[in-house]
Amino acid sequence: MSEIFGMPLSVIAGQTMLGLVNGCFYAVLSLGLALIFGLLRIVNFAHGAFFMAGAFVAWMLFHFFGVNYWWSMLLVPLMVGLVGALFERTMLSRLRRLDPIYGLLLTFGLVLVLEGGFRLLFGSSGKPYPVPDLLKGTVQLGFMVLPIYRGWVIVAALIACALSWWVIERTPLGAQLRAATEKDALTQSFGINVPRLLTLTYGAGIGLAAFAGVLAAPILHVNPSMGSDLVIVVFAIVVIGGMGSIFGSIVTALGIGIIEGWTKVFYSEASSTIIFVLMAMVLLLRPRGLFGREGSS
Amino acid sequence: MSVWHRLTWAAHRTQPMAESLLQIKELRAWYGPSQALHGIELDVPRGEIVTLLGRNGAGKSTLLKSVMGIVPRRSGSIRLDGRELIDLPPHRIGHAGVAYCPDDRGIYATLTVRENLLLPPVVAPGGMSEAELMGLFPNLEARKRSAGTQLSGGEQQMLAIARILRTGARVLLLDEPTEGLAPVIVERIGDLLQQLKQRGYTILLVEQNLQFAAELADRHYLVETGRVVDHYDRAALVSNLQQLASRLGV
Repeated sequence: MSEIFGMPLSVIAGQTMLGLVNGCFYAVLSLGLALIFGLLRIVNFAHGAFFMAGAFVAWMLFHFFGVNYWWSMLLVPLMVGLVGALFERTMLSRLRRLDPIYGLLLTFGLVLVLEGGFRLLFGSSGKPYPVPDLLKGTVQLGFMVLPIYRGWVIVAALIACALSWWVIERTPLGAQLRAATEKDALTQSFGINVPRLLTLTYGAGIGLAAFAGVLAAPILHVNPSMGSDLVIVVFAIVVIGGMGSIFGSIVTALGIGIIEGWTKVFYSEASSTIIFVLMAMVLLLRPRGLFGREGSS
Repeated sequence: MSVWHRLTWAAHRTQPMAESLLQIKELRAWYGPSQALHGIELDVPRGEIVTLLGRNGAGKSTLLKSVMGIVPRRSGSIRLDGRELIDLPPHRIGHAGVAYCPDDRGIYATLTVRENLLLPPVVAPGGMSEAELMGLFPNLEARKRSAGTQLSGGEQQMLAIARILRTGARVLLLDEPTEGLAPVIVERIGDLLQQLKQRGYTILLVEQNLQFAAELADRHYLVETGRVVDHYDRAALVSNLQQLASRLGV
């Protein structure tokens, strides 16, 4: 009984784990994307570029200043998040009253600038980032061998998601955020500084993307296009989960990661298109997304 | 018009007011290219209840929104206790001590009842405590963990008023608090507003229910097509009730 549909259990378990790891990256990225879309009504095209910037800043800190992985985990989201907040404050906020397409164009432009900039500085072949000593090696789980670092990615990403969920759903700051998402003018009339909340949210979403970038650095080759490869899938996930639904994005991301993994086992030709097939089906059958609320299109 | 008529006519228009807490001059507001307010002039004396009467679309709600700074564009002068508000961003107006309750009640579906209640920040000392408000509105205490919009219409209205009483704001702008509610709830809201007046709150009220307004308010402004066209004190309103009712189409 170590086969399912003619596939060894260890292969399925291995792909499930890889799918879950990918799902974790999707989850942290789509969480930030959904957060930003919900409050700022901006389709943040630059999300993948900030993910990539996170990985590169971690690499630069390590390479030039000897800052280790653990410090990077703390510093990089703060640094990149601050850049994101600055970008929102100085540029994105000026487009607030215009058609959302302008925000999309501006963030798309930023992608070109960031990717071009890193390509100019470091080339497109990419840089290796070492797995930290503490997380090297594997553990034998009986039915499969788990590389410790991948297990760590799952744990760290889930903690980040849970923490974000807690802040949004259970704290007064989160209540302000939800309120501003739902009725921004009224919320502002109570004396809540909504523009500051927007900047903060954008910065936090970008910080999350950079955090995912640090997590990804030892697994993926740190290279200028690593964000674009991922972000298209993440957009599909946000559409499937429902725009602006935080919980929906997290659950969908993990599910999609696993489905993608299984597709690799059973019909690998479809593994890169399955997500978009699912997206098309969801759009046909339930246009507001699996977890989307009525009226939040 | 005889001299006597002239005097009584003048009396209900120029009766000396208490010191004006909210003073609006030349207030204009626009939604895109269309102008909704055409130079509103009105005074809300400290500690009084003042109503805005007028047909639908006359600009009453826009007037309240303009005071709060949540219309796309406005000009003129809005003074609160002498301080000019027109150039402040909306969140600073809230902090200046004006609180607003919108006509759709503005209860958040994604916040619990308690989160709705605690959302508006305290802007001045002297607001009611959470415990005090829960005592005043026991229904809210019982359902504080429910989503805000799961409350009945009457409860939502109570919540919408309760949450601005926590902030310490002394000027309340209430947009049709009795709209669509059962008579017994309307009566409770009337009692509540009386209580608030006794506690020294100043209230600017948009009201379609003429009877409700007549019983409650000290002063009334009639708004037509974005202008204040008439005003009445309590006695003048009562003696003009019939005429006014036909003018409002009620």
